[in-house]
Amino acid sequence: MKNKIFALVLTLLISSGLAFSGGHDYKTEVVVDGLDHPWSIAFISDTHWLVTELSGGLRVVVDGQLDPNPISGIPKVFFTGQGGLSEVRLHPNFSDNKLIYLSFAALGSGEEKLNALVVIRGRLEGNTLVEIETILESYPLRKPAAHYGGRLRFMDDGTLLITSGDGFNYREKAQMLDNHFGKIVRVEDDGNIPDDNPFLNTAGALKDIWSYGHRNPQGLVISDDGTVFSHEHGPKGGDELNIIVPGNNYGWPAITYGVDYSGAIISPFSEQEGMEQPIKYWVPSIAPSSMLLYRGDMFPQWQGDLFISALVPGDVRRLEMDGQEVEDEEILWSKFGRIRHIAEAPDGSLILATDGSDGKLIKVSALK
Amino acid sequence: MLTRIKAFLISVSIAMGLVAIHTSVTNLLWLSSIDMPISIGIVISTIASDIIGMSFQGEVPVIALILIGLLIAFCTAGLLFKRATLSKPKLYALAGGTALLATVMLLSLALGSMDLIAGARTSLGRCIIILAGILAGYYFGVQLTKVANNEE
Repeated sequence: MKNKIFALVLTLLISSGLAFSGGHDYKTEVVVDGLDHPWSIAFISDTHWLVTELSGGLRVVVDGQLDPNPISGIPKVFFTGQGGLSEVRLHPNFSDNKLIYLSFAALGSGEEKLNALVVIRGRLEGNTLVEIETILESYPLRKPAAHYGGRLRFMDDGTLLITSGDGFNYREKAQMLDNHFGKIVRVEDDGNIPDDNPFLNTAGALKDIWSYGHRNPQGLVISDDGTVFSHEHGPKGGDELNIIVPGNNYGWPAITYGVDYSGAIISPFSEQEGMEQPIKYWVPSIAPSSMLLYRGDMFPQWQGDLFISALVPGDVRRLEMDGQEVEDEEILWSKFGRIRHIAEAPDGSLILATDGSDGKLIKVSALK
Repeated sequence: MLTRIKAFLISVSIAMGLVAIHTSVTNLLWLSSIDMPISIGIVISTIASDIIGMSFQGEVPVIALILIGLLIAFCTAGLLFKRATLSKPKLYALAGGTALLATVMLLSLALGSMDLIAGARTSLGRCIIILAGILAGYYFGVQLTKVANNEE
């Protein structure tokens, strides 16, 4: 009898310990510091990383050491406000073709400091980017240095999705198909237009538009079954997580769960027939900055979960998914401040990039 | 003195109210243009919400910006009055319009060309905001004239 009681108490003690820790056994460590507004990470291998800095540098991390010499040959970026060098993404066949893709804000010609979201690709030859080609230059030019979007993701068919923000001052244009404000764009890997884009035969529409009615989408992942998830910044409140279907209208600014920063109403409507609803939204805003779908082996309990890095006040949201529905949300790693990017390294660890001029890369790995 | 303060606060309210109504109407007109169902009830509730929201709930309280702008402009107008040939209503109307124009321009400059007040994103919108300042200033000038006449 005493043994049974002892076993029961021991079981309860162990269970309560696991419950207290949330069942998560991991450690966090700063692996790289001294980055100037890190924005995006790409992994050439487990030990060879590329990191973009908003200020315009494409940096290399090898074996946890930041190379003091950035990659040369990067085009000049418009580093002001929210503008600068944004996403880096490897071509799906990078091991053969050495192609990398970059998104950034760039000045247009002329003296008015009008600018655009630009996507280029180039071949990485040693420490230099060569044979640069423009994949997309957003149309039309804009004045504010804000709301570029800039996320890149390759689909299984080899086409490239690009998120393009509403430019802040041009939010109504997100509802029109003759421009790139507030759109997700789909192009071939060389920038040509796929022949199955939804607005190919729509008069006046830009043929590369894949979905519209977005505000400033900075999260983009594609699940194994081809579902495209995207999150976007709302105004004051109203950040959204959406499932993107080609041709669909995501409603901004005709419907929104947020209000303007001035306190004014942007729209009194939060739903409308013909406009898609988010599968989750946040009020107040969390400023979602990037997203990944975890597939690694290091944390098997997290496989299939979405991880969203957040700038306000600064943490990571783990969303437990049941297919296309959000079952639960957990707030993680809120002690590091604003998190700009979260990426899954080849070994299954997670790498967080903190925002700001003293940016760090923080590795989340399993306790052994 | 109290009369002048009261007149100033009412002129700030006039400017804020007109800017809020302009913002509401701008947004609702656009929503209507894409066939969103705009009813009289929605117009009224949106205007009411914007007056309160823009005054007290924004990241940047617009009413505070308008108050500061008009205060500076009206003080300057008061100093210039003795040398000016304009009547008080006209002088303060000019000051009010200038204050609102300066407010939206400086706000845009401070935010990297982002126009926080949605109605200020077009030339016509900025003209309407300037008009709000003109009306607020004209009211203030009329009240000051009444005060001056009573004191005589």
